[in-house]
Amino acid sequence: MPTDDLYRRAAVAGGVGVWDWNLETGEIHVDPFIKEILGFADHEIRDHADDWRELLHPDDRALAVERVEAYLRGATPSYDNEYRMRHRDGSYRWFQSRGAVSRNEQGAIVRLAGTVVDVTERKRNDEALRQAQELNRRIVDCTGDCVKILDLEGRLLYINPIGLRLMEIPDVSDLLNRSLAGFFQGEMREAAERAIASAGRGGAGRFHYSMRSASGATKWFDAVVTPITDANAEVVQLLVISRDITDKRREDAFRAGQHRVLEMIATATPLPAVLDSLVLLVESQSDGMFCTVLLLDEDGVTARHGAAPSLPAEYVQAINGLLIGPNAGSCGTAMYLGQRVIVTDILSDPLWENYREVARKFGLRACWSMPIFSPRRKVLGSFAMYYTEPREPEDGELQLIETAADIARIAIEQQRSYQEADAQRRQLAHLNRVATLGELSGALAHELSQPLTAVLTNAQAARHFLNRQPLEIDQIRGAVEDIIKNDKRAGAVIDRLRALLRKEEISRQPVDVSDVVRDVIDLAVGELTSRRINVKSALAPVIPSVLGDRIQLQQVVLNLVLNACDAMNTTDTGDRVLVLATRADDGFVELTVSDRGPGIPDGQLERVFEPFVTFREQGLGLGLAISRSIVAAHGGSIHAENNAGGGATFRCLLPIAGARSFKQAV
Amino acid sequence: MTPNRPLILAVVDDDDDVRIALSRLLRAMGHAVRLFASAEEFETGNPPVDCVIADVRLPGLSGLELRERLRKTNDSPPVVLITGDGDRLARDFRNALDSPVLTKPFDAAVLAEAIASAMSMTPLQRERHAH
Repeated sequence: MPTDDLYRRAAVAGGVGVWDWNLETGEIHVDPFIKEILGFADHEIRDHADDWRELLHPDDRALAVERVEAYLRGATPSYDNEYRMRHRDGSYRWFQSRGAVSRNEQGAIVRLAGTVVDVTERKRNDEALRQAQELNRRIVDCTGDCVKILDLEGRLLYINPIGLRLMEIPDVSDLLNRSLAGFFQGEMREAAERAIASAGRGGAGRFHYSMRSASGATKWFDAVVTPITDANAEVVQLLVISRDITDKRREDAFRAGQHRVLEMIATATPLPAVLDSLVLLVESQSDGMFCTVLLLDEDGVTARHGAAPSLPAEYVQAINGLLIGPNAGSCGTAMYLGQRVIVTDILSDPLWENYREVARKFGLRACWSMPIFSPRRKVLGSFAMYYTEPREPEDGELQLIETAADIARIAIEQQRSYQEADAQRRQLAHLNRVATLGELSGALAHELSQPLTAVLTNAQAARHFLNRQPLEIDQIRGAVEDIIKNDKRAGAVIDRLRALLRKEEISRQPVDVSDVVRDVIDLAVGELTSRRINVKSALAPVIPSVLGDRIQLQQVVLNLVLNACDAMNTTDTGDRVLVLATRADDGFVELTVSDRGPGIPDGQLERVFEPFVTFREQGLGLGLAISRSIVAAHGGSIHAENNAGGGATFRCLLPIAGARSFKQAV
Repeated sequence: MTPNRPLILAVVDDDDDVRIALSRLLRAMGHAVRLFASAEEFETGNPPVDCVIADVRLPGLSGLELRERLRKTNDSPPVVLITGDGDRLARDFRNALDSPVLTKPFDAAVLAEAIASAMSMTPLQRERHAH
């Protein structure tokens, strides 16, 4: 049959084999080409259904037979079967078989004939695809990220189970087909729209957003939007992968906050402010948590209020001054034992017996306290976390409390060292005043000798006049009045001397720096005159006050003036000009003291501020070191520079009172 | 010894109170007094005086320099130096000893004696002291 042969060749070329099955005899003719596919020669497989049935994969056999029977009994409209058959080498190949029945004249089914195709390759591809899909599904289901698919309008088509869980929304139907950007407002919404539009154009977009979950906690996400393209590289959908960055943000914020607190410590911010900031920082890490810091007195038994910015004053009052002991609440016990004390329920814990009522009054139920230790394991205080419900700490919370206690330790220690340094500085400043006084003694002697001379001379003049006749009452009165005046003048000199010698706490009063300079010029006028120094002052008549200690600032200016005078010892007398200037500039008052001396040797501009470094023949070399420490204690700075035209200038910057201080900055 | 005859005296001191007090005292002692606030002022006025009482520490020319300059002119008046800082003077100006030096505050009698002493020194004597 040329036609048959033509069909057959066409079929073989298409990978299709023809078969014909006589249902009455079981005889089945299959194209040898199919036998070839299975690795058999034509004669090796009998043309009988039994042989072919043998070759079926055991797992597929029952189903394949059932499909034939179902078709034959009319249960399925067409015959379409898929099964594996064993290759000669033992492997299996997939075949798809289709066919139709032939009937005899009586209408009875006698034959089933059709085609069979090797679909092993297609099956492999299908399996690979299925596996790929399975992999995708598993990735999407198991990732911790929220995966969404949007249509090109940005409407939500799909959200993975994790996404639903993160959102704490039980029913996906509440979300589907709603615009994703529409969930947000303001800038967040704009960012989302931009990112979605960008991905819609084939690019990638990214935005951060926050959502309040159903439980009320705010969660932060970092969302990356990318396009999903079809075979033609057309964007058909958008993929949004959002990562929960709530913890990371919180950690970042905590680190930044920690940095701020450490900075406060480093800049000598007063301890209560540092501890308040620390407590607020820790409290920001958890909703409904309150923290306290207690400080242990030097006596080692009394705990004092350190910080509790979020707890009511009455509670703070009740705890302040408590004596530590084996059952003194969480903190008192922690400090007493020198170890962490976790009370999960204040109402039932025996440690709280004496404080239960006050805690109950303010609804405090759990309190975990960590002692603050010095490096030598001396207890400095305690850091505590309170909750309004009974609670046990998680690992993260225990870590947090330890970190907080550690920062508190640094703050407390730093304050103590500042206090010591401060006392030392006061001592040094006093010594320096005494030393300066020595340098000034000549000037002061002169200062005092003038009024004393006037007093004595006037008194003796008066006595002369009293011995003369007639009495010249006007002359005598003039002499007596000058005696009184000059006595007062001497008193004023002594007052200044006393002020200079006073060893006192630093006061923080508004001080007019121009006035301070005038005071110093008055004080040193004798010295300046005798050294032939021409003082030029350019003092701002109206200048904002700085907050500080007038006497200490006088000390600084006096030091600078005396240094400048010394520097000009070898300068020609006509050229001994001392320039004192003040001005306000950008939150600071600037004071400059310039001389026309030889200047400061190369590379020594900073060294002159070191203690015991001096380029003078006399003096301890403490003046500038102390000046710098005084200025630093006022939040200012002082530097030396050489003038272009010779000589040196000392430039001192002091922050204006009420100008943006560090504390306000944070 | 206090000179018996009234003298014309110059007081050079930048301190107003001291200057006026000295003027009052010297006039009470019967002398005529001319007052100057600086050495330059005195030189400008160039008054005929019997003796100059000058503060050592003055703005501009010091009392010591004024004395040196007067010493170089013929018929110059003798100088009595007064100072508020005796130590410094003794340290710095040892060669000033040919003029009496009084440390403030000083007694009227001491001043009178210093004036007499200064005036009793002949120019030659002063010259010898200076070397």
